[in-house]
Amino acid sequence: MTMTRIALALALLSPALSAQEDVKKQIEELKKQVAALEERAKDQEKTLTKVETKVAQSNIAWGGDLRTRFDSAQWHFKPYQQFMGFVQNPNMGEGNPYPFMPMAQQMPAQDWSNSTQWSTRLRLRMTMNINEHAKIMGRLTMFKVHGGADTPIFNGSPNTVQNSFNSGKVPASDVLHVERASFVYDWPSLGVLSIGRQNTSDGPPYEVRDGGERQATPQALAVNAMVDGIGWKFHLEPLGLPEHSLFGLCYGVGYESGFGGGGLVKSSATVVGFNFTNATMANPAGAAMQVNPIGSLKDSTVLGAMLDIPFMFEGLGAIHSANVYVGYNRFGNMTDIPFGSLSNFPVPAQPGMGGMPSIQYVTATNNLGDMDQWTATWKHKIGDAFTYFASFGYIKSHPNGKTSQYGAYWDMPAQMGGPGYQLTGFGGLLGDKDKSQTANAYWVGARWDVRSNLGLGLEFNHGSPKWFTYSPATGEATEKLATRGDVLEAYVHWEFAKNVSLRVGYLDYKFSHAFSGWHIAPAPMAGSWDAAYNLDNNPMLQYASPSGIKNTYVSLEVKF
Amino acid sequence: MKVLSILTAAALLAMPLAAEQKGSDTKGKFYFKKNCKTCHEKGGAALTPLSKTQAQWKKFFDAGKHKGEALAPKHGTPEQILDIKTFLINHASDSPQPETCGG
Repeated sequence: MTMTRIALALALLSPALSAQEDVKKQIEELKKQVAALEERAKDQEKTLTKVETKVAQSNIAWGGDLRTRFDSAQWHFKPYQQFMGFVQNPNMGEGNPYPFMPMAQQMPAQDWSNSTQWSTRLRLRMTMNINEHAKIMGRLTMFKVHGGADTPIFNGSPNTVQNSFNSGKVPASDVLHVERASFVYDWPSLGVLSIGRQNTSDGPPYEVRDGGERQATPQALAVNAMVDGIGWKFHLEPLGLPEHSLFGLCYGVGYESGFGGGGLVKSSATVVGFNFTNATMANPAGAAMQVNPIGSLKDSTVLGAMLDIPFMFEGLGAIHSANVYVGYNRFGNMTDIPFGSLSNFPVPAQPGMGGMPSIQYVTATNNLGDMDQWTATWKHKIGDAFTYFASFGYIKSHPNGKTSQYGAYWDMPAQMGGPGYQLTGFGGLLGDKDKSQTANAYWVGARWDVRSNLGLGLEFNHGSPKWFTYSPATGEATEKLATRGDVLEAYVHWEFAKNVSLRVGYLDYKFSHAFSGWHIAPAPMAGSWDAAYNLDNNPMLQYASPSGIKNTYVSLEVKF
Repeated sequence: MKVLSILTAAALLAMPLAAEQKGSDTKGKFYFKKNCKTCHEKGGAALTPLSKTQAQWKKFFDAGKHKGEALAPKHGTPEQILDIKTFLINHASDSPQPETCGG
């Protein structure tokens, strides 16, 4: 009986004992897990301390991109007359009383190719947050052509003159340039103030080709260069416009004439050539030295206004993202050229020196007048796959009657331009120092992202015979948006690994007129400017101007 | 012709590939403005992609909660949440393409 009772009691206790065992096991397991968690927490504490220390020590957020590119270009030149200087006039006589005349050598059509040119561009983007509303934004850029050709050979194009507008925009040396450095203060309900070296390069719609985010405030067709100044953007949302709508005002300095006091000189002069008007065969000494005044320059300025309205909406089964940009710039007291350096080869032979290449420096010699510039752009992205844009530009010059001191002068008969006429060299605003001239351009393009990592693009831009824009280059050696003529570009952009892309592209330039990229040009000897410097009309030029460039490029692009 | 051939070949090569299971950047921007900014701007401090790093946005969306509540469906459909996540990570403060210039 007793045995039975004991057996029964054990049987009843058995599940309880078993449950206790389970609880014990669970407690042990939990203890192990807690210990492991404590260990992990310690590790994370260490990591966190390291990260916090690193963050505390570095208040600069870095990003950027590296691009290495291979270009293969073929240039074509139509026949032109190479200006060589002045010679005796063999037809001197009644009605043609001038003892000397311009000498030009007829040049045939020519082809030139640069089958391989490598370049590497490094851009380091910096953001330094000062407080909740203030930050400093910067970008450091090196754009190096492979090899030791650090200073470009001047070829008549302004992008072969190195200066602080285009450094980092055209391939050159291994110097790391400060492309942007501005203090930005954001008043939430008022607007944004920006002072310093502004984000004025690679603006909209340039980012479509890049397949990335918008990089700058002004439209690329208006300004694609480095500009120093101050800007204020008003938020327009309180007025009922879409979020991020802005109205901006900016002021920049294109040339500081007082730096070093050079611009304050009132009575300096420079020899620019000879006036042969009074000289005859019997009286060669009558060729008087032509002296033009230097000094008393005014600062070149840029006063701009811009309107920027982004839209987002749903329709036709897709999300649409669109932007309207309208811009106006007034370029005041434009000079012929800012300070710049170039490699000129060969310099004219000098006694005892011969023709030798040399680095030359140029600087502003005259204020030439003002210019108005209007631009407008529409950009529309449909879903993630298709983006198109159209950009338009219009300029109007307001010359002051002055010309650049660089070039050759000649006192012409009244019917051929009159005294002080500039036959070659750099001339006045848009080739006319006295009368307003106008020009226009447009740029259209589309990009189709057939996959999230593969984009195909096609762009076309056209500039009228006198077109000018502050766009020294769009990341290559030539000046696409400044072209007087047509440019077609097609590309394939393949992101084959995260943030690593391969781009294959083709650029086809067809120039209609000479002096692409310049805001200045010499006057014609006779007839209209458009006819005189049409590349089909055998123009007289101091530097050869290509009529066509075909450029195939491949680039490897890395973002970080 | 050469260029057209290259473009066509690239397009043909790309076509047969299966669509990727990723959110839409453009839709993400749209739904971020529509679903998130309306509330976040009331507080004063603006919420933008730059407000967090890529890792921080990933962590936020992996947790799938906002103030203790599940993100979906209160803050959008699962597809919209994925689009918003894609947009915010693509343009986070440490991304190669941080949002700039208000564009």
